[in-house]
Amino acid sequence: MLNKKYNPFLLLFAAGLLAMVYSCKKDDNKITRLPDITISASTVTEKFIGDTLKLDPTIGYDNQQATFTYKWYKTAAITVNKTIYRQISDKKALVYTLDSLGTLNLKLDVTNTTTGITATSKTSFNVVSRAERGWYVLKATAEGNTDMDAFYTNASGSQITANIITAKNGAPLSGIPVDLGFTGFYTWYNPATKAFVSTNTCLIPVSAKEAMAYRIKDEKILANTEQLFFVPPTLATRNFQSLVCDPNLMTIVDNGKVSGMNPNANSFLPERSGDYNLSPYFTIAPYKYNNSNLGYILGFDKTSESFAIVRYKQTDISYFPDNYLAGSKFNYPYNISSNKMGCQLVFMGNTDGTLDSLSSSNGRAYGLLKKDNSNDMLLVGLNTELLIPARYGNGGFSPVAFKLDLPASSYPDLTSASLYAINKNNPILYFAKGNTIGFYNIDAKVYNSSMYNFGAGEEITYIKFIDAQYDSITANNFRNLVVATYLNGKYKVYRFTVLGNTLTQTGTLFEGTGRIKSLIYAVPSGYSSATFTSLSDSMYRYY
Amino acid sequence: MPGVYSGQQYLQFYTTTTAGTKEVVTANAAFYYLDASKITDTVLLHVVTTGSVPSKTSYVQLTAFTDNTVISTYPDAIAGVQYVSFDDANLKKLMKVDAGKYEAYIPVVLKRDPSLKEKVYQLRFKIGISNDFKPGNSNHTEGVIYISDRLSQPSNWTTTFFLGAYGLVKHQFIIEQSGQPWDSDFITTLTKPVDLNAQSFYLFKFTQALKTVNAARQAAGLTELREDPLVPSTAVTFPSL
Repeated sequence: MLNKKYNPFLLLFAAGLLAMVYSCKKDDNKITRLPDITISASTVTEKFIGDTLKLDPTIGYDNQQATFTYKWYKTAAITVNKTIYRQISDKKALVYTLDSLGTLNLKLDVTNTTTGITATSKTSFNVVSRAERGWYVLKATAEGNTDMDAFYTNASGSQITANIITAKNGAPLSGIPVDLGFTGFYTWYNPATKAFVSTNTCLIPVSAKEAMAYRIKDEKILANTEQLFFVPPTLATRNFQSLVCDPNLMTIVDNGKVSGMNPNANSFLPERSGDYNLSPYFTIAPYKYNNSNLGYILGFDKTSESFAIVRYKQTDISYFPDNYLAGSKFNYPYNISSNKMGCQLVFMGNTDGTLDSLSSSNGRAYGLLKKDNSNDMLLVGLNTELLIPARYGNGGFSPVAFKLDLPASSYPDLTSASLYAINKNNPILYFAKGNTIGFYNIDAKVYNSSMYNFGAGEEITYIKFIDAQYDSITANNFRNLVVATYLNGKYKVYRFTVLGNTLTQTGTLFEGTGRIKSLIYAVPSGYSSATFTSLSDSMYRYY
Repeated sequence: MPGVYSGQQYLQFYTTTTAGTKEVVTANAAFYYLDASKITDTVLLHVVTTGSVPSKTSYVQLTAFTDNTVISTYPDAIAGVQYVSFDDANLKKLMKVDAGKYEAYIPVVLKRDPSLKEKVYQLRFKIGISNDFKPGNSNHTEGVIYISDRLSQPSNWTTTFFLGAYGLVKHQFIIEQSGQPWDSDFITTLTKPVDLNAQSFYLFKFTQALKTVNAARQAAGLTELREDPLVPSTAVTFPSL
């Protein structure tokens, strides 16, 4: 049975409610509706990291005057139960520098300061790297220091960014350029979190005096020279001369002495011991899927005039004994020592093919040596299979498997050239002198001292046959002879397809200021697949 | 107005470990690394009060004891020989928490006795009952100091240490080659957190130096560097790079 006794407070509340409803009525009995706050849509397509985002949405209020406050938020964290936002602006127009890769979720709250009513708008888009795919060139500045330009290839087409090192570092690297390397494994010590962050994909630009690790995807310098060495070489006498980026061993040569960095480390170990003076030319064997050949870098000791090997997990360098492969394993038993050769190395590079008779072999290199006290040269074929412990023992045999004299009288332009390159698919040696490219076909013994001429005054400063089969976008892959020239303070980078003796220019000409020493076609780091081999594993193509 | 507890004062060692976990405060006092003229060394023990903040200077009592629950390779230190007795009148004046303070550093003074060249001694102690304090959380009232005047295996040079098995000659060798003490504190900088980069550096450096030293020894008609010159199997080695 209902209790008939009414609560006086309940009655008072009902009366108040009635009064409120009545007060909202006009004389014509219509309720005045507050206008909606409308926010124009902010549609953002993919943006690049480092870009400054500018959003200035139009706020509507049914053409009525009102005052609003604005709060822009970005997603700080998303958990199963909630999304955590962090406010990034209290202005109507957002100006925000995109500082991290990935999906960026933005939220705008617009609040009417009179009514307290808030309208919300959300937008999200991807922030991507502009820099992971494209050409990077290492160049000498007019002052003789080192900087880097990039010609990006991304969703926005080709873009040029000049003088990256100066922009990011505040100054170019001091000293003339030496080389530009790539690693997918640099370990960075993050001082903010006091933790090591592994597998950073970095370019390693090196000048005579400095080096740095430059993370490509967010265009950030992770380490300078001091941080790249546990004990940095003395600055006054420092003279970096080469860099080799084997996936299992990165090496740098300072005044002829080599230091190695293990993968997944962040600094070079002390210089290796021994009475040696390495020349700046190195090569490494073709990548094998079982990684058995990684960490063995073939070089040349100027002191002993001998080929030498820089192995990972060693504290010095090694030489090859005067033992020779013969018999069924070896078609051409030259019995050529790789020691005390009476020459100095002026170029070395690998190419496909083999210099032994094992059907599974793939890996040979050619070294061009200038004889002591002579203008004559010696060309040697090097069996890079002999670098691999699993194949023939731990460097137990001389790698020299071919020898050919190249008298200056017969090959004047080749023996006096300033730069050399080797075709990565066939044993063809290219040489550059002034503005002219010539070639020597090693197998066919065909010599041509002028296969291509650039314009008058254009000096060739870089030549390399790049066999780039490492882009996951396989349509981007190429086999080009890449040549950089210099004239009046500016460079040009030409790319050529090679067909027989003919060079045909292809692709866009890259142009900028400075004098190019080295370059690399970089792609996002990734693992090899059936259709491509990763850049890290393809680095042998640059040596 | 909230009430302020003003009852019994308790004292324990400072800790950052999870509550409920027993922690024995551990320190190493190695005279080996000190100048020969130094005959005492002082370890400061960080203590905190619980229950209440002292309203007057409050004195701390430490008590040495033998822990029969653990098997130790080290003999117990003897008061007056390897350390100044906790009952020493002058020392007791320094074992205090000042009024209004909730923490203090209590000195333990160690003596460079010749016996420390022969053995490592352990000084086990705990916070005792004094006129001013009772022991606090029993998980945090015990400590041990290892006292020596010779190289000894740091407690964190374990069987999985990155430089391989311990040896006195090896220990001396790496100290000479690096200029670092390679005591527990230094090793901690390489292992907590694990600094693989620094470990790679030192392993490389010592491997390289050992190769050079052994070559020189061989040229001089000596054996390679050994823990025991007469036992070839004790040659100093390092793990593979």
